[in-house]
Amino acid sequence: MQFKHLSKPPGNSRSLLTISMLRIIKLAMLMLFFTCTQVNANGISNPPIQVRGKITNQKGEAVQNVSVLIAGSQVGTTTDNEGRYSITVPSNTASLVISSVGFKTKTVKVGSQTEINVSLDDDVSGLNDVVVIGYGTAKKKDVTGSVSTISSKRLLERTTVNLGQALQNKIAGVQVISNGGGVPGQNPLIRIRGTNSITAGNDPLYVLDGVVGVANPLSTLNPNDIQSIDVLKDASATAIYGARGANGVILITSKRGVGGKTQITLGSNVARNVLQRHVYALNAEQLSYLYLQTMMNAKKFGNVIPGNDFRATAQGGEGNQATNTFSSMLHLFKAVPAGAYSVPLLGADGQYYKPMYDTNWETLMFPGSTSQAHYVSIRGGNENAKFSVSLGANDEKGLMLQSSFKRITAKITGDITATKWLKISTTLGFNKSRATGDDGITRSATEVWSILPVKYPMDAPAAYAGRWASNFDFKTGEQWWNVLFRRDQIYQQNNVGQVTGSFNATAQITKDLSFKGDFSIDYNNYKNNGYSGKLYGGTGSASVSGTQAYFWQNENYFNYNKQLGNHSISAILGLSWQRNQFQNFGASNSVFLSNFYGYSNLGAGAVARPGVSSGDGGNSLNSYFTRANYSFKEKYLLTVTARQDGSSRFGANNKYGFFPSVGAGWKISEENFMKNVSALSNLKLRGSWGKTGNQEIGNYQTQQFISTASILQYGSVQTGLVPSSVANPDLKWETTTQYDLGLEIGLLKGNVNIGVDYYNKLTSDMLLNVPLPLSTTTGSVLRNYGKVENKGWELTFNTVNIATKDFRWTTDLIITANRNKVVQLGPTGAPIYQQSGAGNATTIIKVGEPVGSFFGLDRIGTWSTLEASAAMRYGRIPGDLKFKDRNNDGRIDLLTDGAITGRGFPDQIYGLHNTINYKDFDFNLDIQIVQNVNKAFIKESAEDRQLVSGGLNTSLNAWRPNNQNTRVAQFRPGNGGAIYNYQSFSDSYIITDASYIRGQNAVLGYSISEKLTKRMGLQKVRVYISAQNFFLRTKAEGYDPEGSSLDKNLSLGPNSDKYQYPTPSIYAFGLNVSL
Amino acid sequence: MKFNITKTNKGVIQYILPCLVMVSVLVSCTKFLEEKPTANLTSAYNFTTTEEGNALAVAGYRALPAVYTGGGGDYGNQLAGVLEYWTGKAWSGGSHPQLTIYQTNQISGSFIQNFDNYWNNNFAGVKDCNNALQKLGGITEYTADQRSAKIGEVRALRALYYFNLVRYFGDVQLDTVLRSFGESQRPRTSLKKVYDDLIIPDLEFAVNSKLNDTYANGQMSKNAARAILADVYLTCAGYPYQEVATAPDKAWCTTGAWSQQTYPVVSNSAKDFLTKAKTNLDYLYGKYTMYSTYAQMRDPANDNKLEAIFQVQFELGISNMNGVIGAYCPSAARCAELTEFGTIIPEPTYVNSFSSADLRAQERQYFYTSDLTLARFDPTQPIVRFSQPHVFKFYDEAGIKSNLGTTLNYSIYRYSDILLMLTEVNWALTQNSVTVPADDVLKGINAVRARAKLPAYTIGQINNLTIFSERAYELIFEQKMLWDQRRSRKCLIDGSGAFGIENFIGHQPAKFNYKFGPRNLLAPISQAEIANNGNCLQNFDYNPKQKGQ
Repeated sequence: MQFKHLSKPPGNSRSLLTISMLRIIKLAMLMLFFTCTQVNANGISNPPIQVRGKITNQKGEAVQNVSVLIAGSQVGTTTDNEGRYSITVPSNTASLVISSVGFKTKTVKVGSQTEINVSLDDDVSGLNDVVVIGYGTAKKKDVTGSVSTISSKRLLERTTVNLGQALQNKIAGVQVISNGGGVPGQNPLIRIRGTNSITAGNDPLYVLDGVVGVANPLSTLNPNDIQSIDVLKDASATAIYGARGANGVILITSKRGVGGKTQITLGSNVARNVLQRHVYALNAEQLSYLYLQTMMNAKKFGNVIPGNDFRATAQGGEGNQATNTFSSMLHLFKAVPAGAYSVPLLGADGQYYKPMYDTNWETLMFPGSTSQAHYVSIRGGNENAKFSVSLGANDEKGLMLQSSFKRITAKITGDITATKWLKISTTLGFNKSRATGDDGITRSATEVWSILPVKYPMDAPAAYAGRWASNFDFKTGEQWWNVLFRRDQIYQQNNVGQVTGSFNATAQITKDLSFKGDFSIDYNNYKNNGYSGKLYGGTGSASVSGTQAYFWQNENYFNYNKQLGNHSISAILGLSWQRNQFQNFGASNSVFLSNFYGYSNLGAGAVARPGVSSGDGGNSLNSYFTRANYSFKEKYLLTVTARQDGSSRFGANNKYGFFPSVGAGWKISEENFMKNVSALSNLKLRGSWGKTGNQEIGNYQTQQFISTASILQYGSVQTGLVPSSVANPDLKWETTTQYDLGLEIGLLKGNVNIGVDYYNKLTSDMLLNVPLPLSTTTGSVLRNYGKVENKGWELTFNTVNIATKDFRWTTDLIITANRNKVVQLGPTGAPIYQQSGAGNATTIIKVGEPVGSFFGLDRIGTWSTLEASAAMRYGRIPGDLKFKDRNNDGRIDLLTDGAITGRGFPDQIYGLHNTINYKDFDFNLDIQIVQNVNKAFIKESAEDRQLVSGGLNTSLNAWRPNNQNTRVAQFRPGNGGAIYNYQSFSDSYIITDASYIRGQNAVLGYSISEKLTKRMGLQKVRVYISAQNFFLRTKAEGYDPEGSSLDKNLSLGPNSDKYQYPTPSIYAFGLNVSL
Repeated sequence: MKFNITKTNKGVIQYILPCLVMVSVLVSCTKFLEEKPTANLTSAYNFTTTEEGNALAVAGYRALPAVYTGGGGDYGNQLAGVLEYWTGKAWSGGSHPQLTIYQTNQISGSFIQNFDNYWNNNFAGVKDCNNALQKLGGITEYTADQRSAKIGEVRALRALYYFNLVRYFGDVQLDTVLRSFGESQRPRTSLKKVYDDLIIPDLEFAVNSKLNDTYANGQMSKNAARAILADVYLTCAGYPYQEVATAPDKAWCTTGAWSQQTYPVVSNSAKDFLTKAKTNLDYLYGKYTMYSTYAQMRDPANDNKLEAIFQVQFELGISNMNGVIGAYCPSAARCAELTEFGTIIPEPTYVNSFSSADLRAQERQYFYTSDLTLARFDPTQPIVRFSQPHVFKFYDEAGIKSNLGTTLNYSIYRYSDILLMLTEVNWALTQNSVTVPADDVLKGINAVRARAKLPAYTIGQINNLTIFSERAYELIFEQKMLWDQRRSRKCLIDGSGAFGIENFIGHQPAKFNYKFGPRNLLAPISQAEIANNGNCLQNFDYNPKQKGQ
């Protein structure tokens, strides 16, 4: 069936070739199966012994999923949920190797025993933990690369919906930066060891149960379904993923069925989200004051002609003053005796007035919300067939009204031992989610006049009674609808439906050699629905757009393991085919007769020419890979990997890229001369070098396109053909060369473990979208140009502070310090600026500077009265903003007078994690510290364009004759005085220190004692309360020191906040039950 | 390939299997990695049919809306306004258009998208035309006449884009083909050469092509090409062409060595250009019908009719984003569906310079000072009075009062402009000692004045002041004054009921805090072009400069 996807049109030579190759492989597999029957038949020579037993922890509790292996072989089993196992060993001379994540491995000789019960000791060093390394697993102690693992337990400490957030603050070298603040369902920005590329992607490669490059891993996977996450960081670890390994690899392993009694677990939690910080808008009284002050200054700052008592609607003094006064706006103002209100608002009728309303829009828009999550799983089976079924439902509510992320997840796994030599595994996952955005409302919440009501009461003047209020009702400034009205009229939903399935078969060819074939698919259906209501835009407009993306992969590889005396060898050799195909479509219409239809009936719209669009495309990868591990006396370790990747995205002569790596390890503590150093339980030095690639660019970049354009000419719509791209037939891989040096130290019987890694990465032949002159070309071309460097340290400390039977306290500290530098840019070396218009935080990519740097003018302050003549040089007057004129040419210009004003990526990140277990209680605490980072808090319209809209109460720190030492200019009408207008260009004023300490997570859990649960017929019951983001210390302004507003969400420049969605504090209660 | 599986020796299988895999490694399956895009044509496509040829040719019009009615890079900021702010005669009610940089001489090419957009939009037009012209020769289904007409149509459009570019920026990159990235960094070519080698030959070709004189559907016609050509010749008879011609190899644009200010220019070259302009204008004279009322000018029913010679096309529901229409309305006044605009507003002193007898100055002719509030905002529809007049000549009521967008075409050339050029050309010829009958000088300007209910001029009254004043009255905010100032190096001084006139260099508009100098004769090259084209030098006294400049 899969061959259909290989070619278009069917039946050409390409597909025949592919089919024949795959047939050979299938045939080969078939042959293997027959061969293996023989192999196994021949392999058994001694009388077998049946051994059974129970594995427990130090507390005597059963441990499930423990690996019980016959020493020196791959034959083994795992314990069921009662900790029991049963295995047939070839003879009584055999030994069992019993290992499990978090425990020290034990080896037991079988001898005459038929029941072997083992108590395992805790191990914080994780040395015997099995880590997933891509196309296989290895013990942590035998790995030469830099690999970090997160267990399911650690992952589930936070009640997060998004896997990305669950990863935050857990692994050295991994930065997780929230995007869009607290928008539910938003994927955070994840960077492993820095930003490697400028145009190509910087996201790590996600591999879910062998599906390489699975889509939407962060938002659609249920963390409850995950057994472990392994993060590959250095080239020795990532090079096996060659062309896609440069940004690091995140391997996600799902929970699977276990043997023994069928186990049912249930989990639920309810979380309350509350607003943690505030952005203070001008209240009615402050706005009244600002209004009067602004009017008094109107003449000073331009050709504004203020009215007698009111400056009317449009540009400076326009309008009928007789109708635009406080006395004519009785829907908003009421008459009061002189002096009765702090601000003297004098109407045209000679009476004083006072605002009737003082609305706090923030409180109305972000009232707090309640999220819930439920999960059920059933896992069971026997030695030969194991299954798991799980279902999850999340309803995450944002702080904003009607903002949510809803998700249903389902997963089925099956592991079948078909014959003694053939194992089959299948996984099928289904996810469906629906997310809302911020719909521009966070900005409105600051810009709506506080003097408006939400809706006018029915006894308001006729034109207003019962109507939603809008900024136009206070007859100055721009139209901003009140946020509740917007909420009522605008909605947008992003839907994702995803099916990920894999089928794989492992055949044991000989005792040492196995072959694995995998076929997987990932099918994604994206649909965006949007509606903008009639009252908002006038006519109503709706759109539906979607993308169907289909991915398949076929991977086949040999796995070889051999122990020869002191020599241990393992190797893989394989090949892989992958293809992505997508089709998208979009349709929109407007002019609806009623809001009733929403986006549900586009045909109900009446516009002459509804929008319609579609497109399709695809890309392919063909890869060959190998890895060999060699260890001598378990002391000297060597790993060599190589991968050859061919991508459809590159030029005809550069389709294939070669990515080698080599890693070496020396377990010094195993040396005889170290045996006597009893304090040192582990000392391992490892180093690696390798090359990895990046191909995350669009499709078809090597071709020059002639696109279509709709052109109105000759009285009707014509399709025109226009040049639309510049081709680069020589395009090839971006390559990252990485060195890594690591030291692992275990002290005091493994109770203190220290890991240190230093890495140095250089990305060269960078896939850079080189801007071209628009005088001669269509604009830009993707070229292999430029270099970016990342260097850094990663430190990990794990300690067991106290470990008694009843009390156990462990601490983890991780430190990440990355330094990024652009080494070389495009052909002219010109910096690349992003977001350079007014109302933005401009970022710059410049040689010698890190990616994510902010760029702007230096706002020194404001021109003082004494500096009037100096200000004249720039056409400015006292009260205007004063900028540094770096080239002293008398002109203030962002490019020529600007400089770097801050850094968007932090220098250091610290994660501190404490776990305390006391009897049946467990307590976890995560603290995050981020240092030396900046954030831009963009104040466009909130401080700089008074009376265009509401704004921040920090405006009140404006220049006044008696307050000249300020960086806020004197009040002036925003839409009026042209010469002295006040526009927010990127400058130093908006950059703040965004270092912070956050109480990220605290959980207190209680497990009902086993005696009691047994009586209830249950295995385990745990209740917990948790608090996330429960404290925050920072100098940064805004709702959160980290993240960007959705419209400023740049992969190369985080922390650009222009009315970011607030991040909540979350207080949750949860219950987990095992039946 | 058959194996006897049951009897196969395991060692052989072990050997053969890796080999099989290795074979598939070695047989690199390049077809699997081939890209075959299905949603767009590539440049490798062979264009031969009439439909393909027509689609290539019509692309030449694509950039027109962007060039003439497109945005200037920020909310409510319009390129049409950007061409007026320089003159000192326009004001903006919004803070986004950055009028302030023009008023305080803080202009630079850095990040001010006014310059990027004007550069990019016109060059986009040039590239669309070049792409078509490179391929039209291969359209085998065309007859020779069809091909001539299509090529003429596209070349006239290309000339128009280049005409805009040289008037705004001076020297520009002269190219008739699309460039690969390796050869994309090209130096600027002397503006004189751009006129001589491209603009004039393109338009002459169009005028002599198989195009019709006129088309009812707004297509580029021979007459439209004649109108552009007449304007080109008139411009070449003035500045900066005539000054550059005195020393063609001198780096005029980068040194700003401009000094000549006499107008009209008296030289053989000027006389030659004026004569050619006259030929084309004479041909157009009488071929078009003047609007009988100013209301006809703003009625979409007259799109491509009456005075219209060449227009940017707009149609309801198809292309209704005539952005400038909103820009002339007062912002946030609640009387237009188009809000946050109000950015192209005549300075009150400009309006005061109209004669009180001028019909155009009357309420709701060329200007208006009040309008009704939209019922949507207030069902009683009170009148909003503006503190200063706004331009009414483009007031497309249906578009302004409904939120479906405006559909009024935007005139690039209309007959009044031809009539005023006719007067100027004939008068300038007399200054170059060519005998021209007085009526030939007067008939254009007096036709325009008659419609405005103003007295006819006698020949003795014709001079720079009266010619440029009439152009300022009649063609207000039709993207003409900046070009008039630059080609004549004369500026009108606002007055009461009449303008004065003075030299460009030294002129200081009322709201500006500096006097015009040579710098102000050209716009800065945008930072994007300077950064990405190492061979492109910046104009005199502007930032950012090219490395080493």
